Amino acid sequence: MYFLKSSLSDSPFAKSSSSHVLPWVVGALIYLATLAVLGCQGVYRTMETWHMLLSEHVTVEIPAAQKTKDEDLDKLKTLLLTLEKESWLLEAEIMPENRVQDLVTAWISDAALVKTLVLPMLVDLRVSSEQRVPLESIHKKITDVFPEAVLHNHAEWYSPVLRYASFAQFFSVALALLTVIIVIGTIVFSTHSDLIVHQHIINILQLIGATDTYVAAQLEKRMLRMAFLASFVAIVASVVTLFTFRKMSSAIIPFEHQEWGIIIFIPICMIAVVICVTRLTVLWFLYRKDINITL
Amino acid sequence: MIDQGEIVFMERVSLRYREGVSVLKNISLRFFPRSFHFLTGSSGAGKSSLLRLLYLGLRPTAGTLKVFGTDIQQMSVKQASLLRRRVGVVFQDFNLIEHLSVLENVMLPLKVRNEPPSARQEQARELLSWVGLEDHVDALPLHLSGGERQRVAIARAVIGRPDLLLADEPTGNVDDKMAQKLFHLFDGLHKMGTCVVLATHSRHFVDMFPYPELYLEDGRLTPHIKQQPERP
Repeated sequence: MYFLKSSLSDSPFAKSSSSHVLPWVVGALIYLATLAVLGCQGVYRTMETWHMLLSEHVTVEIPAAQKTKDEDLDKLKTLLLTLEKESWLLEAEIMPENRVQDLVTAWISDAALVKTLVLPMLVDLRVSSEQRVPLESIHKKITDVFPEAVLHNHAEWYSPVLRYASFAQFFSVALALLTVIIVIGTIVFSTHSDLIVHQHIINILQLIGATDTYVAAQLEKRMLRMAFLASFVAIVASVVTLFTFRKMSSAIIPFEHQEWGIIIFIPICMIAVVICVTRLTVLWFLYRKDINITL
Repeated sequence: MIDQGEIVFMERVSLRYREGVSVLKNISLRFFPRSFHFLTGSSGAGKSSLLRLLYLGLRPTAGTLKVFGTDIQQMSVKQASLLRRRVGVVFQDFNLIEHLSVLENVMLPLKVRNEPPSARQEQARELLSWVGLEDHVDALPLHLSGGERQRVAIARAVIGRPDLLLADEPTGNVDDKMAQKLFHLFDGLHKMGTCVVLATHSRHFVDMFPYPELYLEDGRLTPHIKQQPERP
């Protein structure tokens, strides 16, 4: 930051009142945009994981009271052997108890407590996505053996969730875009105000031969410093949020290195946006001013 | 026709502001290198507007104005910026940048030309010494007297070695003793080769120096001319 500090110390433009508030406002907007993109990314990855886990699976849940009898277990195995002959069934597996416990632990986050619970027996049926699966027939065959058994066809609840997830993704992207638009508007407004406030100094600079690009560069330096501060604020806030969220829900929503990339990438993009918008605003303002100097 | 080396060529130039006020009417004149001109006239006669045209701060409403051979009507904003580097301007109210030190104010024209910091400093210190302000390099303009501020403004105006120096009532805010010193400074610059145009109300100084006078009255150059602008 030294190069910014040294180049600003003899800047012809004095600090304006907005220079104290702007880093916080823009920082908050960058933070919101980062959260929106992180949210979009999180939803996408969760959906992808769920899709991998659930899209070709049907689960049979046998209540805890019925699973203890060894003869019933034998009946179940026989039933699965029969079903495995069907072309639509790719694989059938009685899930080990520790896997069932893992599934519950993901939601309760207390492994010790989960071990004390009486959990149902789960049978995972991997079915072909290319063939029609006779769910009613499977259900009937299973309930003949285990009247209380429930057949979970994940597609039934998964499809609406997918729709909600798509909407959430769209909303996140729209929120990120809206944030960028607000940042652009804020920078245009702030730069325009700076130009009005510093019109006298701009006239002096033009009088001594400063080109429009020189004037733009002076204001860009100020905005660059502001954008660096805003990005720092946004990165710190995003890291704190991500750590907190990760601690709370890492078992449900997986986090990867991409999240850290997003936290750095969004502020860098915003800095570029701020600099471009500042430059264009100054150049447009000076273009409209033509050669006029009023001193 | 424009002569070789002509600094300003003005032919039937008129200027009317947006409000409809006509401030300059049919002005024709020529300035050559190494010349000195007094610009006189009562308040509101159009002196400042004429100087504003000369420092390319405005386009004339009618007529032809060429500065350093470039027609101001056809001139782009960038061309105007680059040509202004050959023009130095001094104002009655100094127009210094208040939060910059004396040295930084004087160095500014070289900074906008992207000259190296060491060269800027050297030239600015040299000029501040020439105008007698070597002990005030780090002071802010606010802490200087009117005469000192005007000398800073002159140093800033000449640091880029301008071919044309324009001064609008430069002695308006200083006492007579300082005014005399400043007039001699301008005379010295003229002798070093700069074309100087000095707008003033001070009859005393106009009569003291043997240079031509352009008298403006109601936006027109009138025959009340002490001496026609002479070619060097």
